[in-house]
Amino acid sequence: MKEISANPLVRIKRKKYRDAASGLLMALPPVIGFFLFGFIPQLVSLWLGFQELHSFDFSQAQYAGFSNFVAIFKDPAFLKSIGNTFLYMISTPVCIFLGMGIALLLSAKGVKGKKFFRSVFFIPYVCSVVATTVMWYWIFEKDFGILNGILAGLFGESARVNWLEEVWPFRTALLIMLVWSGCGYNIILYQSAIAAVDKNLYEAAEIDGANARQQFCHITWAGISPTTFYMVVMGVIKGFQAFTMHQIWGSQVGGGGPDQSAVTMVYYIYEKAWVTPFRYGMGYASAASWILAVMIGVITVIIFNLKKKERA
Amino acid sequence: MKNKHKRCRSARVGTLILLYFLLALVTLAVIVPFYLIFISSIKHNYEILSSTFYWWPKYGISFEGYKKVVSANSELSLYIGTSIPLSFWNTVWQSVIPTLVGIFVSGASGYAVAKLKFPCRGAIFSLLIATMMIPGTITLVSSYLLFDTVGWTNGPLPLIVPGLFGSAGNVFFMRQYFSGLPDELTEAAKLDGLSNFGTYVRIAMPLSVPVFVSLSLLSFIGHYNAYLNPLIYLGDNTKYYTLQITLKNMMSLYKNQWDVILSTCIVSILPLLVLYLFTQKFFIKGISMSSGLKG
Repeated sequence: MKEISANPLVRIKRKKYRDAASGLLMALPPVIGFFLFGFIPQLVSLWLGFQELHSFDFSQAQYAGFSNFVAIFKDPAFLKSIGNTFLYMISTPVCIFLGMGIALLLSAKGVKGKKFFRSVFFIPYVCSVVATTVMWYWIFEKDFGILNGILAGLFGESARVNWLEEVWPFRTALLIMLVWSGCGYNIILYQSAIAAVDKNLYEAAEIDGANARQQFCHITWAGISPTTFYMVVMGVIKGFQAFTMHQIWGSQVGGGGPDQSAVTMVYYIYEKAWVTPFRYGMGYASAASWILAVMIGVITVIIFNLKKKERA
Repeated sequence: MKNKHKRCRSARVGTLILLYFLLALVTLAVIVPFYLIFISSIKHNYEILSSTFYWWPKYGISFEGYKKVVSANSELSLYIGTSIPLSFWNTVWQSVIPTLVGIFVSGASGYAVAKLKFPCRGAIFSLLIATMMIPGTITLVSSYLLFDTVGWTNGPLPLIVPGLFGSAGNVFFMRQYFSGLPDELTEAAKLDGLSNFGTYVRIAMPLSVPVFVSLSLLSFIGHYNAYLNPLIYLGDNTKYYTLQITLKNMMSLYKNQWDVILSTCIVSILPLLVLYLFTQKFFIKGISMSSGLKG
């Protein structure tokens, strides 16, 4: 390319410029998108955290110092929303273990119809989330819900549980729904991770006399650990931002579920900004979302460090 | 010796039976809830509301729920301010446009980062990766205020426009994929006089159809199921309500009309289910790709 004579050189140079320009143009749109819809809102959000604002009109914002942050940490409802968020995050490890277990069943030697089972197990993931949530709401309904119908049929009328209006039954029911809809994805990931483990390792282990449990602990578990790590990280990030299912149930039962037990952190932010803007407002909600973001950041870093330590 | 062999085999059969039993159990756990809502959606509402449950419509089959759901102009519309067909149509176009444009744009960006040389290439890529780590909820309120300032709230634009710029995640996966294409191919195309963009559209894209399909499907599912953003941005503008928002509102606005609500559930699940059954292979591929573990 470099040893071309003078006259075409100009042409090639121009072509090179054009090449570089078109490459840049092709690469840029996502960057512009991030700048407009990610970066700028982040700056604004940081600024808003220190303002008092009760409408959607920027010009009415008033500097409030750290008062939003102080007020948030003094609000027992916020602390409760953190507790709720962590509580519902229990579904993450449950989904990981169930996903792993079911994927192991599917990967066992001699099982026929793997494709069929896999297709079925993945269905909850592709289902409309709101429809799923409504469906489970109705299954758990106290008077005509199917679950209570079945319980009453089996153990008599006294066996009916008020799933949606008492705190712990509500939490249990919500967790069941979260696990039900969260497992399919993990099954698929684990199944392909297990399939990717080198088969020769098992043969070698068998020759060395390792039993099934040892084979699992030393070969399979190690082979799928990157998948597990990915699921833990994604599960935590997603768990912190839990909203849809919680809000749909919560809004049906006394604005936040029994004793506000549906209110996760994002639900809390949503309520402060959109449901009660006059009392709390945009600045307050922005400050809360920064606290949430910092928590996600810190916990993600902790998880990454734990992994490093485990390796060392 | 022979005896031992036999014992081994019967133990294997035993394990297999246990395996199938567990798999059947999981299958039931997935399917039964769907069966329950389906069977109830064809019951009369008074049967749904009765406290005893039958596994089959005891008082006859009724399609009343479905009739109300599919008609664009029924008494249901008075309650919910919109109709299910309109909401469905809104969901479709509000999902398909950002999905298709977004994938095309992300693909172009991924292709450029993988195959072309231009200044700041590395920086652009690292920046995009970094953005993937930032949780979107930080900007929930500020984005709303900004969109409100330009007058886009109470409408579908905030749900569509950001998607048109592609997404960092998809740029990342497309880059991975395009890096695997042989350089000779794209070089040859350029010698034949194709521009960079032309090479992407005419050479790289046709070679990557399965990847495009996989990522589009996942993106489509994401848009179809979006709830928080439509909830805050569509406000009270029922004209643009998506299926998810309408269905959620039905629970409070059309209280206890469970035959209609459950029919709506079935109607909103069915299209995705059919899509999934026909494109399973791509879904699975997309999932393992987007986890960055394989593909």
